Amino acid sequence: MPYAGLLGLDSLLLLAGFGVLLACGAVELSTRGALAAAGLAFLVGVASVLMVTVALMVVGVPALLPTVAVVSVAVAGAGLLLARRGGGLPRRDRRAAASAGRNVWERLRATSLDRWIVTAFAVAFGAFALAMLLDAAVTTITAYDAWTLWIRKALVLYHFGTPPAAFFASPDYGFTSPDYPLLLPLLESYSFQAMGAIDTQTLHVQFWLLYVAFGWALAYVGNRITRPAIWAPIVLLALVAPGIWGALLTAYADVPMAMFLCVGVLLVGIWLSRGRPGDLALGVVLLAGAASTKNEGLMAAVSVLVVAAVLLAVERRFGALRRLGLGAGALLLLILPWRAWSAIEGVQGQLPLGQGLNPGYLAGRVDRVVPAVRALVDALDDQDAWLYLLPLALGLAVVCLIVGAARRLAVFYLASMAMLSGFLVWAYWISQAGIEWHLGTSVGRVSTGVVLVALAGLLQLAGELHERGAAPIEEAVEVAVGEREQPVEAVGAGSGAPR
Amino acid sequence: MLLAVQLAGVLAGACVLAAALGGRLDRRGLALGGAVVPVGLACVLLGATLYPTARNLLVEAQRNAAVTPQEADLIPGKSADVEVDFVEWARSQIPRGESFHVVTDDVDGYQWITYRLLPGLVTSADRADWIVFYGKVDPSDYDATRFESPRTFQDGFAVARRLR
Repeated sequence: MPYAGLLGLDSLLLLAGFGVLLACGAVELSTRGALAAAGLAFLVGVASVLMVTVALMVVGVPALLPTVAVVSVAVAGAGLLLARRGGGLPRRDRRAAASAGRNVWERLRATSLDRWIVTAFAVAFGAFALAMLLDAAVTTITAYDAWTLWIRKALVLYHFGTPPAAFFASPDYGFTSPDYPLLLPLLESYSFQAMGAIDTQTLHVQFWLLYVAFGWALAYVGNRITRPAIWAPIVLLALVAPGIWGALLTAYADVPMAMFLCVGVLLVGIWLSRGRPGDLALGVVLLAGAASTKNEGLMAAVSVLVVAAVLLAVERRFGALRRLGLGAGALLLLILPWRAWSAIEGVQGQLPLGQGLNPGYLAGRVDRVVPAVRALVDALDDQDAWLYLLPLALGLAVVCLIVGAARRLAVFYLASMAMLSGFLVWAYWISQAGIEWHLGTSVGRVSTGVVLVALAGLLQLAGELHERGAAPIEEAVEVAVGEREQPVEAVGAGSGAPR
Repeated sequence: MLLAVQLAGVLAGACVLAAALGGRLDRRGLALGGAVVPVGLACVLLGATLYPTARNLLVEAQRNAAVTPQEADLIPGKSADVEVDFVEWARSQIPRGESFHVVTDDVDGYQWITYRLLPGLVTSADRADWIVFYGKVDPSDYDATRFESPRTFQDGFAVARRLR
């Protein structure tokens, strides 16, 4: 019974996600295309439906299962209408969108190495995910914040339907970080309702689904930008990194936030490279999902959008800059309801943001900066958790700068990571909690966002470098066997977007 | 410092692979070498970690499979060294949804009580339907004339209902 309920809930979220993907021209209307895009659709569905239900909740619409059903169907329907109004998928976009569906099979038939690699990826990921599912289904909550922050809020929403000010604005509950956005507690609350019980063990299956969707989405998007020989090992490495799967099963919000962030920043990176508006739209939805999951997600979304805007302004690409501005406005609208409700009800956060730019306040606490930087670097350098994802990404960015391939993308990812790291240090700087305690209880988790931005960069930069380095070899082979076709990487070339 | 060494290792790997794959250390060769470094390292690390990690997950699953849902609900409190038996007893005494005030010096106990007594919400002693005493029963902490005599679970652990 609990699994049937979860299946129903997640099917609705998946349906909504497909609607958004259709509207953005990011999925082909075929069984294979839909199957290939299912992971991305689930992530997008979770983000979009839950952001809408948060907006409804703060104006008094209770977060019940009928609400999520109506919103999911409405989002799916709106997506379908938008896709039809836009005339469906443009031909050249269809090629890009279908590259993980129909085109991947065509490619596989042509390239036996890639076929073996995708098969190996699917078998390895499938086996690992199965082992993780068996564990997730019986895992118990032990991590402190899981129950005292996240599940507590899920139970509040489960029992009350809407966020009660008597909880969120009460100083008695100040220890729960009441200003944190509600996407994850809302997902947990809906999961409890769908399961028909407050089952904190089976709840982990929902986190597992996010994990599978994340890997699936990275494979789908990764396949658009490079061949399986490049993306598959990188994606699999990330999926077995204990900092991702292990931290996810603690039921904290850091990894779900970072998953939205990773795929979102990757899509923004692809948009910067190819200029297809649908990629920007999807990226914005996922960045908004990150910002609706944790406050660090908002810092990350701001970092990504500001860095992208600066790059476009420097290049004087004002048309693209205007589209990015529209995307930023959409993100603001998506995250506004919870922020506005919090402000109106007087919900207090733990960070004194009002003092955040006060020179006197900052100067009086400047001794916190060095320990914060050291701890963040140490956390990022924890290769038992991250399996070298960060040094690999940094290394490839440096190679890009040296060889002159995808320099703007390298700068985009490096600057996004740097700005997000700067935000995190700033948060420790202005926090009123004891620095040792604050760092000790959080820096290992909040570094997840930086590492997963690095993962997005690693995927895209590896693809760009491979294209630069292997192009002459592959062209020669294709000409020799008479199978040369337009490469996926050429899609969007008409936008004139520099790489 | 270690991160810098790792970064240097990645760059050196790119150079070595560029020389091995293309025979030349030009820009194109370095690009290809750079693209292949993560692939190579990933294959090595996956070979070393995938199976042991999956096996550990299965061992963990086997261990947790014996935990009942009722036990699972209380594990977080036990992990925080909270007197979970008292809190469960308090849940049986306080009708669902009634407000309460907690008298305690124990942060973990306070957080666990406010978690387990949901949908009841914590409030001030002068407005609460119930007083929950965790670790101490001190009449100076509330207006005892407005509450029934405390019902005691064990010494220092009790609940008191507002007179109605």
